[in-house]
Amino acid sequence: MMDELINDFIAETRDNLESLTSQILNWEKNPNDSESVDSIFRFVHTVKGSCGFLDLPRLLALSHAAEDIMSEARDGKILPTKSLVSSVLSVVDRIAILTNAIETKQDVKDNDADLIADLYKELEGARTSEINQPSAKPTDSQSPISAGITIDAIEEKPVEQNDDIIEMFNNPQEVSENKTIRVSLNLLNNLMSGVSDLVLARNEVSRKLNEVLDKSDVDVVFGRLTASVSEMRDAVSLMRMQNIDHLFSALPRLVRDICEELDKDIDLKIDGGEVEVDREMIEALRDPLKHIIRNAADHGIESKEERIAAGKSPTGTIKINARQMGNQILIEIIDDGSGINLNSLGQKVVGTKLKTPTQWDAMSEKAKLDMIFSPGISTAESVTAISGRGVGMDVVRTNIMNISGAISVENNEGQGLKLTLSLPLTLSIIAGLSMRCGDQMFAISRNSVQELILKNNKNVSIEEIGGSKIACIRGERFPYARLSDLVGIGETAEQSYNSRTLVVVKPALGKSYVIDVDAVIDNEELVVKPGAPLLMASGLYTGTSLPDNGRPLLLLDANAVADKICINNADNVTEETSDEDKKSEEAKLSSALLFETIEGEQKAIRLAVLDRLEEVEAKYIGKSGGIKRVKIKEKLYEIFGLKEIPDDGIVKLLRLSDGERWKFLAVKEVVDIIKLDENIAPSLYPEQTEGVLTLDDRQVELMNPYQFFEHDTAVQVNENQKPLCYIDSSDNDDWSNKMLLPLLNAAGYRISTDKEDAQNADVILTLEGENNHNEFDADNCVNLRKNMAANENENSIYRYDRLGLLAAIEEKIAKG
Amino acid sequence: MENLFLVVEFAGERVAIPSHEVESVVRVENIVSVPGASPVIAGLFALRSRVLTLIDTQYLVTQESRTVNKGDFCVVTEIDGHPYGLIVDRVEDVVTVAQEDLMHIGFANGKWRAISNGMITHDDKLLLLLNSRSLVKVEIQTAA
Repeated sequence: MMDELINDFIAETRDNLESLTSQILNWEKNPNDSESVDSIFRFVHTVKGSCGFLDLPRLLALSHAAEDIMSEARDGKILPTKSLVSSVLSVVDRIAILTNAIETKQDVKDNDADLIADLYKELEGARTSEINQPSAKPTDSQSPISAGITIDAIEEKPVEQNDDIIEMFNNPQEVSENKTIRVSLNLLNNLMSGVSDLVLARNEVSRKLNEVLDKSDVDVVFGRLTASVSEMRDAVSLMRMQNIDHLFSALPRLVRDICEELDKDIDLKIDGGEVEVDREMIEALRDPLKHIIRNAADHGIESKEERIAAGKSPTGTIKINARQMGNQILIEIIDDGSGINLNSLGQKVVGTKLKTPTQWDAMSEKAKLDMIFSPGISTAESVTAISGRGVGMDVVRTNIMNISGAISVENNEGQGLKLTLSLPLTLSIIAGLSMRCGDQMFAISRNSVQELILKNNKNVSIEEIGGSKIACIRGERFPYARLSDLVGIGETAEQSYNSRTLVVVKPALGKSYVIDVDAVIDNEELVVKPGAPLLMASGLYTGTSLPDNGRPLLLLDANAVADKICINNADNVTEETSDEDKKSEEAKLSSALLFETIEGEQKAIRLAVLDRLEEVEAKYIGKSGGIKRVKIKEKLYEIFGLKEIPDDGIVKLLRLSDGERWKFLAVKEVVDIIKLDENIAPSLYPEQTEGVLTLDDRQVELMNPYQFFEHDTAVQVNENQKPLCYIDSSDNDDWSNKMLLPLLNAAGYRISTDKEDAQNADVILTLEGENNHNEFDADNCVNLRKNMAANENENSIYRYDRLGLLAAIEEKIAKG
Repeated sequence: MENLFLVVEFAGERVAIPSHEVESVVRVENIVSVPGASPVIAGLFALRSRVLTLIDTQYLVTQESRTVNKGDFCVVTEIDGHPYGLIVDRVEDVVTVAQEDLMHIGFANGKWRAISNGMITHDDKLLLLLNSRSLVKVEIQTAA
């Protein structure tokens, strides 16, 4: 019984501690913020109450002292000075340490009395300073809870405020809208694997069902089972999600400590704390993020003097933005410090012999910046206690890569630095590409796959030099190896040499390479399971996965395979990478995908807008509102190039992206990737066809992707940015309600019939018969008439002339 | 005090595994081999939603890989959070052994020494006591 209570106490205290630090800092910033003071008070008070009950004397003494301070603060008797806040923080830290110690059953030998004495000393100091500046007395923040509590400073007294505790629980602020319960992580993991079992069992049943001929009655039930199983799987994976706030909660304190130590003023702004991520991700990001912030605060943000001299505000700013984009989480860390001085970075790089001066000069700016991720390079001018020893960004990058994320730098010398972390939504599910090699299946993370190309493609040739093989794809050379050789599978009878596929892999580190596999099978979401140590020792795999067919799948480690091919010549990895990046970027811009349309015609589209090829069952495609759409992961996307929706079977769709939105283009077959040269003949309809290519004496149209994004039905214009249309009619005018309103709405206008809005309206519509034409300024007024034929001298538009009407409105808005 | 052991046979020897280490005994099917990895790994096998790493126990003793066939027995055990299947030739029974019949002395020779940590007497016969944790140690495989 007692154990259970203590465990509850530990868990609860720990939860509260997380938010407490930021509350204390908030209090320091806004001494009059009674809400922060109240919640700090409430915390120490609750700890004190529980400790008395659970017989934890040290925690009791600490929380009691803190409670004294907070009580005075709440009564407005003291203001938070920097040193007072520090003392409170150290007491809170000690509470955290002791709380952990209860759980681990370890002894903490530090002396609490010193801390408590410090605290009271600061309290005295705070009182005096308050007397010295009486004008700064904060408004009294008396809350109903505090009534009746008088706290006599140092004297120990029994716990007797049980009434107050009850009162606090009744405080509506304390009752959260979302009720939650605490569940152990183990239980959650059990549930997860239970659900995975369920999914596999379902798949098994599905396979068995397919063998039975007459199953119409079972099908309905089975469909229901399938639906609820997948619903359950989604719910369980949501349970693993945690607010990214948990990751950020420790940062304000970190920044404050650094500021104090280095005498800087830094404002930390955190945005996007509501983004949800996998809890394992939060754990994995904690240290790298701390490191980045520490770097930014220490040698990103300059000292106050330097900032003033540079014409900046003496207070530096570090901004953290988190947002979700597609299936990625982006975290940006932006500081307004000095940025990276490439010259001094260059000196360091040359100084540490990572590069020769000539090499350095030849590097692109991006490649130079990337050098901050090399081991041994520090961006700091001097080593401080906090950072600058050169062990840092390389570790950060490795950590980020370990969770299949990426980090990029944007330097604005003198003005600041922006680091962007892009991370997968969860750690446990990756988009994988499965491939066959002999009778063996492997998978590789799709993020690292640059291109797939058939070996018999005429743009591909394999060259042999000095005993190693090089694949040449459209003039670009890559190290080449057969997967079967790499993993040591004996050569299998090569039934169909022609259909072999080359996979161009771009590992997180180093140069791209090509592996030769029998066939690429599928693109699937794979649940990654960590491999046993013995398996990982092979250095080839990152883990295993269990796809729907129930056969374990080995996940290849793109970096490890690169090592096996022996291409990572440490000397010039970074440089080559950057060149490579540029090259592949260029290659992307100047290449196009050749495909066969549903009608059987060959067309091309630039590779740059292409995301991937998606194969979708026809049943997920539907036509609504005159637009064909496909349902992918609960969302609808527009499809082009599909005249008829097939009854069943698979439809191949190219996923196009303009960077923000996705559109799909139906194709019959993907033919090849071709290189675009200058010889593109112009087209008469540039909006549909960018130009015409000649390919083996055939003419192929290069489609203009613009057309797919141009008329976007999914554009979410901010309500307030839509032009406002005021319709001057009585409220119950049938025609304007039934006809005009929907028309304008669909055309993207805001509509009002409220006279008040007439002033601000971008355009005013008046109706014949409502006879108040002259009331409005003709400049932004459109008159509608009932008859097709116009009366003489009347500037009006027939109300069923849709195009004319919309054009007139547009014209008026453009003028305004 | 009495202890429960599962008696199995592999590499021609009768071996006892502490029963608390044994999760279940199953017949393997659909083995996926792991090319490029240590020969100790006999393959992967999906037991419901878990992927077991199959351990070729015979290889650890004789340095000769055995072929694993569908229907062979494996002892399912979890070590350091990873599920393993120890391939065995035969599964006998669960036996109760009195504390005094349990000897934590290494008599075994050769490769057996690395993977056993004592022996037990049961029905007047000596059985090796398996140290299953040692089977999956990376050092053992690299040394092997």
